[in-house]
Amino acid sequence: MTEPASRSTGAGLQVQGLTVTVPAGGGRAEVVHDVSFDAGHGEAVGLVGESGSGKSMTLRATMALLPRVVSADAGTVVLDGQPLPFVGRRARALRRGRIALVFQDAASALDPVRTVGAQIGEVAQHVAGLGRGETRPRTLELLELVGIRDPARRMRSYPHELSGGMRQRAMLAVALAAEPGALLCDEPTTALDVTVQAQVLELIDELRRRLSLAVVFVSHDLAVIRQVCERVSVMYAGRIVETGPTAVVLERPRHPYTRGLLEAVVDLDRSRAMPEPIAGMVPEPGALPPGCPFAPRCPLAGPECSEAEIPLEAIDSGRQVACLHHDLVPAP
Amino acid sequence: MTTLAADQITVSFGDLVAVDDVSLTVDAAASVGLVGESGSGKTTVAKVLCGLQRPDSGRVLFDGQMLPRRRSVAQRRAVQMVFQDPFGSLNPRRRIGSMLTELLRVHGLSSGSERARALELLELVGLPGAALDRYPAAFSGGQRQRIAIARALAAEPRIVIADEPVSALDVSVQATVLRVFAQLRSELDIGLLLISHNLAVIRVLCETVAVMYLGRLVETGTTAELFEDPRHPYTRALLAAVPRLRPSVDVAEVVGIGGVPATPSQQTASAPPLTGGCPYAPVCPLVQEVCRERAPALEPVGTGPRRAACHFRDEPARRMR
Repeated sequence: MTEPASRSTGAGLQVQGLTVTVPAGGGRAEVVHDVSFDAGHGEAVGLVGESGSGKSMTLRATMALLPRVVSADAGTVVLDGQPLPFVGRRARALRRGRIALVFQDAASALDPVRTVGAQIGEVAQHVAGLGRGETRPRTLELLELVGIRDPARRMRSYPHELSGGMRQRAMLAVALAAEPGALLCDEPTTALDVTVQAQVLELIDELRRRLSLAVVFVSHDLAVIRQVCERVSVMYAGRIVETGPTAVVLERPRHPYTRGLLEAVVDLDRSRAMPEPIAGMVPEPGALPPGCPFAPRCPLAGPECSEAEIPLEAIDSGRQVACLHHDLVPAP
Repeated sequence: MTTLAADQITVSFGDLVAVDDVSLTVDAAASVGLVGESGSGKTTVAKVLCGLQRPDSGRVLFDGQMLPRRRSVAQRRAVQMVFQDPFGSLNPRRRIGSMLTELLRVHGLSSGSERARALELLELVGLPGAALDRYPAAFSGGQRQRIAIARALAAEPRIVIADEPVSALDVSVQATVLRVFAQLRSELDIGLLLISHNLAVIRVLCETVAVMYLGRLVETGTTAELFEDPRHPYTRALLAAVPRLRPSVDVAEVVGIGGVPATPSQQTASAPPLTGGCPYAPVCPLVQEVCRERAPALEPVGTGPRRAACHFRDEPARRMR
């Protein structure tokens, strides 16, 4: 379990009112709609949702890594008080060395024909501005920091010579070589075995504390989010539908979708009871129903839910939910 | 009673022993879970059982009869497989109806109308009849996986082997597919061998479970007893590593001490070759002298029928806290 971190005002990463669109049938369709979240230094926040919820797009927009046809149409990203643009040369330049991103697939994020040490050294020199003489000791230090044993030997390894968990650690070392203040993680442990996943999650938790990183962790796995993040935002159809302290949101959800996810998930602590599927399907972007996008699948929905957009509303300490009937959502 | 059994199966790929002396039985209407991490050999066991991989030694038995190297059509029909990736396992250019009716013809099961039977199969997995005239692209991951199950059922199998059938699916659709598997057993008396790295999925669907590590079975028993009171340290590490919605166990305590469990590639690449000791000994937090000298066999815990391959399988309370 993570310990509460100090949230210093203004410091850290803030995303406000982010909207992302993709071309669709002559016009544009929103895949992320008015999404806001923040992570202070030393704090980990989670974005959880299923395929098509917009969680990865949100992360990529934050990182200014959207594909060309996709655009961030509104919103701001502010890091330690400084606004960062979404497009153009400055967008990347201002993030370089300050926000790092790690992916699910370390094998394709690392350069297959260069050693791990060379890749870490390159970032340390060109992004963090280290001199030639400082690079090697720093590389060794970083490999040690991410828990790779025998770093002097491992820095000469190529990515394919490492196991999945080691590659994930090496990717973290490359990311940290830039000395970032914020670390964005896109499903970094999804492809790993459970024992290796547990170790990588521990490592990310430790790095957050030691380096005071602002961590944004995207996953489809509620239990992983529970383990790593103090706060969580649940996304559905490009919107945040519920947000608050992770323990509170997952133990007593107040949005019908959050509750539906919890009923659908297979959890080791639940006895043999069959999980309950959520009826219906996620709507396509561009074909969203009016009002609450979850209404067509929601057991509590009435005609009032489809009349107008339902904003996030604060209901208890640190928690917001976008549901007219949040007081009727039964306990899971 | 229908039974599919692996009897002392061993499979090697070059120097790598992928499956080492594994015996496993799946009865009709039973559901057996096979758990292990990448490289544990669980998928190779599945391939041997459905005839896609020839074992170096050992036998595959069906209803007590040894299956030959080349199985007859009837023998192949009896054991069907469902794969992980519902996107790669369906031909994108065939309509669902044409795929199913051709299968029915191939299997010689076209008594009466093939189309009517295809409709029945779709109904079994909870899909509307309109699906017959569509291509795979029209379906979501969960629906495709149900189509893949319908395809397996077209052969009227006695045993279905499913290799990570829900790992690629979203949470909200996983539940639907798990229900279909539960129904195969209860309504059609089909035996299920479920291969997964996800212990929660195994717990929901399976009565008994076998845990593999580096090609060997390290623990077998009923799901309830094995999950409540694991007797092999590897089973215990696996269970502790699963992230939970209500975290209680300190993961670092269990997994951290032992380090990364060895994978077959590490064994051949960097670790010294095993010289008779327990394969788990190099990373086991509870290792003793005897573990490095002598490999434990898969033997009964107490009076059985549960088994574990650990010298200390009978003293969990003291040694495993």
